[in-house]
Amino acid sequence: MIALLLLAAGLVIPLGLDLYMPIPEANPLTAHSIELGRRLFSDRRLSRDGSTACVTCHEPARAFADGRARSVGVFGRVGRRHAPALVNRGYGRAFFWDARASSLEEQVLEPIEDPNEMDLTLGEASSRVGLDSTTISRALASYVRSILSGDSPYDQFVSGDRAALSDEQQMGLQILRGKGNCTSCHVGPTFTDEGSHNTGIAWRDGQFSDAGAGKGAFKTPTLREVGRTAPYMHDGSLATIEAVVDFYSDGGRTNPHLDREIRPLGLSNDEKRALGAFLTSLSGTVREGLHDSR
Amino acid sequence: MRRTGMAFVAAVVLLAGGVVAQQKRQQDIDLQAAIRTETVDGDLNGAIKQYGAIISKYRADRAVTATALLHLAECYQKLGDAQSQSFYERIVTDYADQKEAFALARSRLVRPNVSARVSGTARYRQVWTGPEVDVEGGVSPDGRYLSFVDWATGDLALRDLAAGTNRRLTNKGTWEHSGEYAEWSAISRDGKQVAYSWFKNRYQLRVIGLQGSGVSQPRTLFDNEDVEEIAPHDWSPDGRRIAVQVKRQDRTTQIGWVAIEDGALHVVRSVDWRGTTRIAYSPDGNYLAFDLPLSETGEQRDLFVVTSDGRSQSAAGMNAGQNRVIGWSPDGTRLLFISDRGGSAGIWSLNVTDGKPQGSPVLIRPDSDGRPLGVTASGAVYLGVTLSDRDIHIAPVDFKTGKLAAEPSRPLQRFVGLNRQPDWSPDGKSLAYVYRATRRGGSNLAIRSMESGTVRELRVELAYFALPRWTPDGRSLIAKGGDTKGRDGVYRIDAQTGDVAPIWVSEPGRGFFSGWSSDGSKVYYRKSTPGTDTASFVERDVASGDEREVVRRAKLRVPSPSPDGRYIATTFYDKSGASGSAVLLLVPISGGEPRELLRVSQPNPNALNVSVAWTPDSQAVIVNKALTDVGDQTEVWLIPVAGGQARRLALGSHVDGYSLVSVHPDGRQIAFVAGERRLEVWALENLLAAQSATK
Repeated sequence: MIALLLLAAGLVIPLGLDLYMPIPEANPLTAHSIELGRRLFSDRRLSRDGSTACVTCHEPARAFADGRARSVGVFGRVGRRHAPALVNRGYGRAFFWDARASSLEEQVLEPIEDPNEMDLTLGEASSRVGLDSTTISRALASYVRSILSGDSPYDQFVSGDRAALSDEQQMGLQILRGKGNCTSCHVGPTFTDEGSHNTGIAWRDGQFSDAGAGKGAFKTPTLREVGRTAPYMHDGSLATIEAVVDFYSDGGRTNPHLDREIRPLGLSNDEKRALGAFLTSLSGTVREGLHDSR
Repeated sequence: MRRTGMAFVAAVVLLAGGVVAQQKRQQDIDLQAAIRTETVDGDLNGAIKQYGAIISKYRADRAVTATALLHLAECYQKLGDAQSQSFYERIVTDYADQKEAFALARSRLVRPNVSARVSGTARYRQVWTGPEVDVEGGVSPDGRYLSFVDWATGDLALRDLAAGTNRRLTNKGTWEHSGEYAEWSAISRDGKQVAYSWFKNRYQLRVIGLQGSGVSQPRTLFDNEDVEEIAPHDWSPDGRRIAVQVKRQDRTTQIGWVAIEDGALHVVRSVDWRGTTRIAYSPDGNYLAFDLPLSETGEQRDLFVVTSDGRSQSAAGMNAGQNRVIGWSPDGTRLLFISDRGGSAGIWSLNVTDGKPQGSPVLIRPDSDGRPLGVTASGAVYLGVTLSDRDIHIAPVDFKTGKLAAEPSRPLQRFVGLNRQPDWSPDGKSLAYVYRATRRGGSNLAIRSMESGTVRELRVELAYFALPRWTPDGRSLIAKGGDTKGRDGVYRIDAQTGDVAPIWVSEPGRGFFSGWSSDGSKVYYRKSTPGTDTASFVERDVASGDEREVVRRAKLRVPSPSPDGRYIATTFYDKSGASGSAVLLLVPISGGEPRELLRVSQPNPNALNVSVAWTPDSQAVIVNKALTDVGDQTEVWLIPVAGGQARRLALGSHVDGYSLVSVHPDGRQIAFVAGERRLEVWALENLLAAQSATK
């Protein structure tokens, strides 16, 4: 059931994802760059106190999220936001919850420099691992591109295996596409439009606790592997899928800049359960690194 | 002396003026006589002689000559004679100063120049014309055959362009036997197979052989409940893959290929719901070329070349114009495309090396537009073109007799040939209509003041919309449409600002089967029963969301509620009887038995237009009735709801059924869209050789 196509680097594109992944010409995807990136991803020398690596907050077992509401970095410092799942980011166009980075090469360096995460200058990082910052950036970006999630029950279902989803999950899929209006943002193979939207999640006491990408908007996260990546939202403020479904069913949180796609859905309890059941069907096979060598 | 001289000059001027005026009067008399021969007597050959004489006699008068040329072209067009195009072309080429004639000729000159004067020895050749022409298929590599749909039955068919014969490749029976049909198709590179879409509740991908003269057994290659549409665009040169575009249930579109071996779909790229206009395999099979919109809302399209395994992709980086793929040059070094980047549509060439576009595109054939049907092995480009002079007309009508009190007029001078779907405002002072700025452009809304003649053009933030109808307060219009996320439904459009608000969002692809109350407080939509031909019309209260079933029965199609909210008019096709019948049905909204208003025995499920119009007083339904099984000739009938004589309205035989007519609130005028429209297939031969020769 695996849609196959090997890239030059030996990457297998799982069922449900596009064969074409945008890769910058300056950073071709090679076995060497993926493997180097894989090592750097786990290299704690890239943090000031040697306690933290990328993998600290992006655990493979949790679909490359960390299970905490807010990530913990060097010296036990707590960050501002929840660590997002890193699956299928090779298809992304905007990165970070506030969408401030437009490429993976740009994105992967920022946590190294963030005082709450790894707290090194790029010069310090370079000297610690003996690689210039461009090489670090390209290698980490290549590795992140190799992290793919697909071949889920949902993918099997839409590829023709009508038994891959239970009746309840099929009902949930209809709600996702219809009454739930979820696909207005969570769309396509990666279940994200790569856009930023104000759902009201950051609206507290008449103001935004975090402006995000501006006026309380945050980037749409993928729904792939959502069953393994609790808690949810940019601040990890919703602990369960059920809480997220309730939040949207109630129309988000009213504020002056609420996205026009967010409105009360009036989902029944059965519909909420069905939607939640469907979302768990988006857990598939998470692959990383050199797929054909494993 | 000075006074005498002045008097002399004045006399000469007066005399000359008198002569000129007299000549002008004679020109007008001659022209009117010819027009009378053409339009009143219907003697087109006689009119052609008269227009020819006028052109010879008044050659120095550019306005008269341009008008006569225009009528001459129209006469030939009505006769189905391709010479019409050469006269339109002459107006466009030589009479740009005669704005009205120029605009009309330009709108009708939708096929490329016939003459070979632009690109060396390249020349256009008409290869197929007639009412059965369909341009959803593709040309064979040798240019001999064209796959198409025979809409008389919905079967896949093959046109032998050399012999001028058609052959059905499938045999599903008549429409009364089966509502299934073929749609898009592509012939394999070895000319032995056709891949085609087959609609059977949803679209399937099928393949059928071309060997022999009979009907072969097709193979269903792809059928997936999650895929609403699948369209084959091209075959890989080795015949092992078919390039396709699919539309998913989640409204996304995907570009990819289906393996002949196992029917598996391999998605190369997922894109927004509008997708590409064409996918073409490079001659070596290593690359796929396609076009995509640059943004969610704009009309501009860029070209892309992707390796067929998805490993890499290159964009041409064209951020100007609407660029649409035609195909590859036979040697694979150039990508051919249609673009309006030069101001008007023409054929362009872009060099491609190792899958990467190189340099700037080159215009190789100006004034060329149409639906690309493929590039043959010899490099000939085949295009399906639309010939149309359709536009909005207004006419005074005596509804008691159905006759016109005067000849219809064309009130619009802008975007001539591209204005559709008129609707009178409740006070009768404005006419709203849908227009397109270019033949391939998106829909826009315009409102014309009938008092001042001024036109307000409104930008509507919808991906598409159709059949806008005024609300009773005249402050907004309601239309069927789809937003930029591909959501079909019913939308309210502010008549001043063009701002859009959704009234009701349908399931994907179902928005067409809806209607609404005049004020938009209620929406009526068709809800089908899976696995049966039974459907119901559901009334939805927009404010409360409450729904109730108005009627349930077989074959229901599009609901058209009356302005007073008492009835739904709808048409359906009844297969029973010797030949089958199209039926106009009246459904009481508050309950009660539906009753038939009209029954037309005709083996054509579209004998009555699926959407119907109402008179403003809700006393009558106006419906288009097809005159033939294939083609667009229609009659317009007014059917009183309370009974009484149905009347044919004398609007001619080329009224556009999709636009619907609109009756003025005073009950004495009618706005409608009329004009001939037909499809033709043309081959542009020797194009690439001519381009090489001019380098």
